[in-house]
Amino acid sequence: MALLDWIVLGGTLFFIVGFGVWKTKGSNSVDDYVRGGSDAKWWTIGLSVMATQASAITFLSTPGQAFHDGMGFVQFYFGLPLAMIVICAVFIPIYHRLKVFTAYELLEKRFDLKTRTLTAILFLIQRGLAAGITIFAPSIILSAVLGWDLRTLNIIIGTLVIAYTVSGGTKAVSVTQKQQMFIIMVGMFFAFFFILGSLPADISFGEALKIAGANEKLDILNFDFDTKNRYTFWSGITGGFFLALAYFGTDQSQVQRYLSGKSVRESQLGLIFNGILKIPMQFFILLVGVMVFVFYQYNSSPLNFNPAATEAVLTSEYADNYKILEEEHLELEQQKRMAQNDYSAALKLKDYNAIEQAKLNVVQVNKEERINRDAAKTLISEASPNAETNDKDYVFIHFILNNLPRGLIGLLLAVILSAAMSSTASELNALGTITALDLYKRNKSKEFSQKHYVTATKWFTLIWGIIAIIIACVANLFDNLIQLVNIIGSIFYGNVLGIFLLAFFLKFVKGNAVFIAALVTQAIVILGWSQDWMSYLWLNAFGCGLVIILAILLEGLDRTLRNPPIKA
Amino acid sequence: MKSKDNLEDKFTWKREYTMVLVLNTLYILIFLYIMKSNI
Repeated sequence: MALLDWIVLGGTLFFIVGFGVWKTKGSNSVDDYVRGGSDAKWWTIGLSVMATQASAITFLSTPGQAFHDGMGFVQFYFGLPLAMIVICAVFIPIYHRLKVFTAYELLEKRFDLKTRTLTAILFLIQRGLAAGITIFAPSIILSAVLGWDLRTLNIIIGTLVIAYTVSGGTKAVSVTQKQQMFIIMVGMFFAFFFILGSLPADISFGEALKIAGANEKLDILNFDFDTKNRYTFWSGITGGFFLALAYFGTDQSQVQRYLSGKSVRESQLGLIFNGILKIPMQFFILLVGVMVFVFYQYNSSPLNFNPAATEAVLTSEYADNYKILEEEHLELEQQKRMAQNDYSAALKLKDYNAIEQAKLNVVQVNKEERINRDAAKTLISEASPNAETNDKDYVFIHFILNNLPRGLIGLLLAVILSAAMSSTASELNALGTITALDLYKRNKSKEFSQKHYVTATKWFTLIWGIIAIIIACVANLFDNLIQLVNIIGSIFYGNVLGIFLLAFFLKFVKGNAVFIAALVTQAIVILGWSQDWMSYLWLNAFGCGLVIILAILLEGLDRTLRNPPIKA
Repeated sequence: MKSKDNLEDKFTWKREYTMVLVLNTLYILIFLYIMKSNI
């Protein structure tokens, strides 16, 4: 990296952290520290909600996902706008009226203490793990491509986040997230327009889309009813709806963002903002990945984008076989360029027979290239069984480091680290709050001062920050990182969402029935996931439905046993 | 019991919700158009 990149990267990060610490120091009440003084405007809430969900994984994995598999991943977000409406109409008014500090506080008011404690613990388990992965994900990738030490990077990201999150609480998280979202959007727009400018002069944006479409990268919508297929319109609209409802409606890392709203209206508008902009934002990030694919139709790409995997195979007994595949890859790339030129020429001439023929050639060469890449992955697995062969997460960062100009590389790295910091900050903020208020404060026999609980929340935030860094340092990469976080969420979210839906809509169900139903459901969902009963997205709906049915049955059974029918 | 009574709420439909539905339907139609026109 050039000096200019270091200046842009370091300057951006230290300005955000320094400003966050300076602007928000000195919270003396729990309301100030946990709900940011309850004076946030809707745009602050909207940006904060979006920044919390958009982690570094979003900006590293998503373009790579589009590069390899096209834009179908956007369907995952189709249920989100519907979830925003339900949360605005049902959840937010109740949270505000009860003046709760945490989502789980509501469950004690509706059911009992043990249900509140159970959901708080489920949250701490899954969000604690996710916080570690949120730090680990960019660190493993950046350390592989830049040669930086993985542990040092984990510690740097974790420490920067801890600095302002512990110091300023919710307000510091919101203030920094506004700046982080600005940096993220500016960086991604620069990258997008740079790619368009780097395509051959005769390839317009429209033609780039045609090339992507010919290679099945624009297969955005899939209406198949296949529960094993992860990304279809139906799984997005139903499974995605449940996941979004659970995440935004019951996960403290999100609930805390809109509980900081000045009024019900400001909180609702913040989520409406997310409901309107989320799908275009994800579409844009995927489009960047598709444009990277088009870019590599005219420029050289490595056989495998993961440098550590390539090094592993090149230093093994399989090195000669891998070099043969690399030569074939080079030959295929030349054929691809010629086929693309023929396709572009045919498009310009509007010669439909030639267009069809050239398109077939392009698709054929890309299929051969994909087969070649798969053969390389197999070889890498044989050479090093522990190596990560799935290189989706490395595509975009490889493109950034090898093709962007000086300064822009530093800016894009700032985008990735800002995204990592913004979501980690919300997670640590929520983990500290839940531990302090739902477990520590609730179970203390006597009341202490506001200052005592603010200090306790700061300490718990610090402890969770250290735990997250430790998890990041021991985590192992598997499959696609973005999916890993979503899988962990899907295992727990459905159950927790079901408990909240019972609280909101089924008043006859009481605490004991809900508590037992939740424990049984969690065990069954974990079993279902380990036995691969269904795609992980469906686990949300499954867990949610199961806990509701079990709770109703148990409540009915309990009432029957208490009040047996009188015999005539 | 007051806190439980506070869970009762009237569902109020707001025009922003309609806007979310209309815009997201529009996005899906645009995706369909992009998909169909670039095959």
